[in-house]
Amino acid sequence: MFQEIPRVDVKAKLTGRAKYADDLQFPNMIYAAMVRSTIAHGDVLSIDATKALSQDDVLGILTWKDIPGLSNKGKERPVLVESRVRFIGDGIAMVVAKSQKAAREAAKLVEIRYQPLAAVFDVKESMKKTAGWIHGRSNVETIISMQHGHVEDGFEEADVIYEESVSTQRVQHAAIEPESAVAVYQEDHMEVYCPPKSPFNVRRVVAETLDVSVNKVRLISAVVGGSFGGKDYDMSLLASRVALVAKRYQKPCKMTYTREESIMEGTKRHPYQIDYKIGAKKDGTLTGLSVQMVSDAGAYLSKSAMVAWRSCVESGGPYRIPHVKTDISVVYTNQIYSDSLRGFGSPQVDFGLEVVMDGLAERLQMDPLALRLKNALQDGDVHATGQVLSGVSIEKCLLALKDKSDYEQTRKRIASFNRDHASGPYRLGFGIAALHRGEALGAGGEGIDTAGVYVHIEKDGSVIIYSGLSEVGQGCQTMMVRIVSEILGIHSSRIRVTTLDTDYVPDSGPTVASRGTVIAGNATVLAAEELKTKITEVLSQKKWFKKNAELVFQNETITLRHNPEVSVSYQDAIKMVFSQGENLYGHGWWSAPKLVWDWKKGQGDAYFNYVYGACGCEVKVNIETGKTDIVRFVAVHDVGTALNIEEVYGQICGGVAMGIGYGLTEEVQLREGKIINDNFDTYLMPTAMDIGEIEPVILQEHSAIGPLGAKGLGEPVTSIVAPAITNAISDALQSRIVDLPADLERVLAHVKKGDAR
Amino acid sequence: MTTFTLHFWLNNQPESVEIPLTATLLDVLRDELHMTGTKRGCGIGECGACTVLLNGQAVNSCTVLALQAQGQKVETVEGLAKGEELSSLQQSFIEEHAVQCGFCTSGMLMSATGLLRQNPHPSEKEIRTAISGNLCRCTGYMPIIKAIEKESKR
Ligand code: FES
Ligand code: FES
Repeated sequence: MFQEIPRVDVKAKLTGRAKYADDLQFPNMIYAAMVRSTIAHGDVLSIDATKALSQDDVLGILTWKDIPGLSNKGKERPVLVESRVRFIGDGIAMVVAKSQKAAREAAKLVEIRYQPLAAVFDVKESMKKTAGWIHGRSNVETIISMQHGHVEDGFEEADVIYEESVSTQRVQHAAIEPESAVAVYQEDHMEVYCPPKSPFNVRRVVAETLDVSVNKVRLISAVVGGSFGGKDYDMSLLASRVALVAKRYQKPCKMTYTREESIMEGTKRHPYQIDYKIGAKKDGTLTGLSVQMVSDAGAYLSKSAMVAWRSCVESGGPYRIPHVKTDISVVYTNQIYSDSLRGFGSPQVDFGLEVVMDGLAERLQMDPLALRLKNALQDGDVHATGQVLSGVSIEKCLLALKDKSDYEQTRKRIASFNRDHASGPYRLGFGIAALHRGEALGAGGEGIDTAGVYVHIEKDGSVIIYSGLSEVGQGCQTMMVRIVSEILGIHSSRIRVTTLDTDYVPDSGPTVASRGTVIAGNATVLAAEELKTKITEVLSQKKWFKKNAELVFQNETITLRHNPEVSVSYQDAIKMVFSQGENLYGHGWWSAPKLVWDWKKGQGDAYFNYVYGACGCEVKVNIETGKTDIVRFVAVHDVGTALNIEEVYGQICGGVAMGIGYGLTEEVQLREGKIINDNFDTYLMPTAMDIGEIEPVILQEHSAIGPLGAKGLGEPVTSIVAPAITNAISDALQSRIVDLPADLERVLAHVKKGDAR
Repeated sequence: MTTFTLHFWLNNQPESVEIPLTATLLDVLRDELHMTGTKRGCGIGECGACTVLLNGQAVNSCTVLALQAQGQKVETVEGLAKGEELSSLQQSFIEEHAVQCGFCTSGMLMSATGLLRQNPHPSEKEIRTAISGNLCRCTGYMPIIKAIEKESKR
């Protein structure tokens, strides 16, 4: 067991000293506020800022004409639109003032005249469009497929065929910190302070906007108040916007979005419509699966194709299915764009398939857990991508769930409660769900999956870690401290992680897909190993060191493995290295194993590893009000070797809470492209009263590829919460819920359906 | 713009500041005094990130007019630790891993402080109720509830 390490940044956060972007102050700072599109589709004809500019403290207005470099790229969101607006919220201009208040007030006074165009809000309608496209010459951006075996053969072999259409809704990150950025003009470069999920993308976009090379932009990370997929490209835009103002006025400039703006422009999860057809033998053996999906990308491309690819690859779930055919269409609409949001295409297909598995189990008159166990992937099985799997732990997860949830007893207890209380307002229900999830970016990832970490040992033996991956609240920094402390055998209090600064670390890609643990973790391992080698080289010149002897680094001491009597303290060893004129500079660069995906065939080695999980949920449904209470939530996840077990608990609880919101209450509601629930009074997220008892169950099946055997977490947890909840509600009401969220109205509708049965 | 001078006690120190009549207590803390430990998450009294104690009562400072604090006692997260030394509630938050991104943390600490002063040994239900106005997107609340429970048993 590892020693406990408190989060490295925890003290500053507890005392209010941690600096988030909006907390930063610079002398002579000015402020900007956005003027945004109020129509969903059209062209800007004119911008009248006369009234705005006559206000006290207002300094000016900037439009795309003030952008020296690129204002937008292809189908990507513009920094400021040139003329075409594609959703309500597109940025048109910025008002600059001496105070935030003055900037925001004046922005409201800017008058925009538009030439409106026909807008489309429904994906199916959008697909049919023969003119007036949002981008290019079709509203269908791409269709991605996976094909394994011959699905028609699979259906022929089946005794039972079950078909179902499901849908998932649009939700958002809703990190409690609204987006904020500060740009500070320097003579030879632009300094940007912001909470970035993908710091190097932010730097690149700022450089492209200002038309300078990337070394002229320096991004220093502020403390990140939650990401969950947000603060990625949206942060690139915000940073570019403040940088433009800072350059123009040669003064520091800050812009912070209001919650309403954050909701208007912040990252959303793609809504999906999915048609399933699944075949099975009488004994439950799955024979074939067809999955037809449409994803609503909204108005811009962002990472929609990558997200769709993951959905495609994972659409067969953690099950052995000989014949699978999946297609997903990515479609534009004139609404807020969708992007990567905690789960990155997994939650939609995990919801769909797990609901369908329950439907199939019912049709087969089989227990839902038994059906999953019967088809659970095993080592050596062929995945729907054609890849032969190893390190598969889904069966272990399902069995742990059975045990920890007291599965059979729970089902019995619930059935008898419902029988005994048939005339009362409450129904109990129990539901389960399972998943597999590809680690890191995979073969469909943008660019290569790499990260760099530097580790320095100073002359006094203290250590500094420089990492290219952001700390977005997931404990990435703590994990790196853990790794260095284990490998060098030193106390964690010797180690500090610096704030991310793009001037000093190599481009390490985005902090997405829970890749921090594996990618940055492995880079940290390499850097620490390099230091170990350097120390070993110097010690090997000592008389007591026999040729090829092995050293053990432990408890601040370096010992000969075969003769533990011979040892030197870590501190002395460091002194020796420096006295020899050597350096203790460790550099780790880790690239994920090469992966190949054949886009034509829809087969390939999609991910270098999958993680597995299973969960169970007990609900209490009030059939008069439609309100669902989560009584108990058991979440089983194989996290590999847990680098910090308490942190893992916290991450699982957080992931479950977000999933409860997805399952029960959260939905970004749009009317004609306008978001109508634009603050937390109407966008309802779970509070401490809504989460019931969350019971994380942590399995530690050593990973062959992760640092010290660890696996990525964060996203897998969220992905299977909603289906476990809706399966539980369906169990309680005896009517299958196939659409999200299961809010009061939807539940009441199913109360009626269930009664009718 | 009509202004007035606000005199109040901030973390047991007298404070005076000239502010607009319409300023909220949160505006005063963050924008005038640069006490940025108190956070702004929604601005409409729904997230609790801006929670402070007003005469010992937890309030959302974004919905309190600064005027209402005239002559009153205000406590913020910056007042919890004594110099380098964390309060035992803050220590419980560390031990229970109740902090992730940290943006909700100040508000959580202040709601918990308010609760424990009035009710030193709350039930789990009372704890949940006391922080039900504080949204956290990272921790799923369980570690926070445990931390407050731990503190109440010290
Ligand atoms: S900022 Fe005051 S409650 Fe959200
Ligand atoms: S720790 Fe991030 S919102 Fe609570």
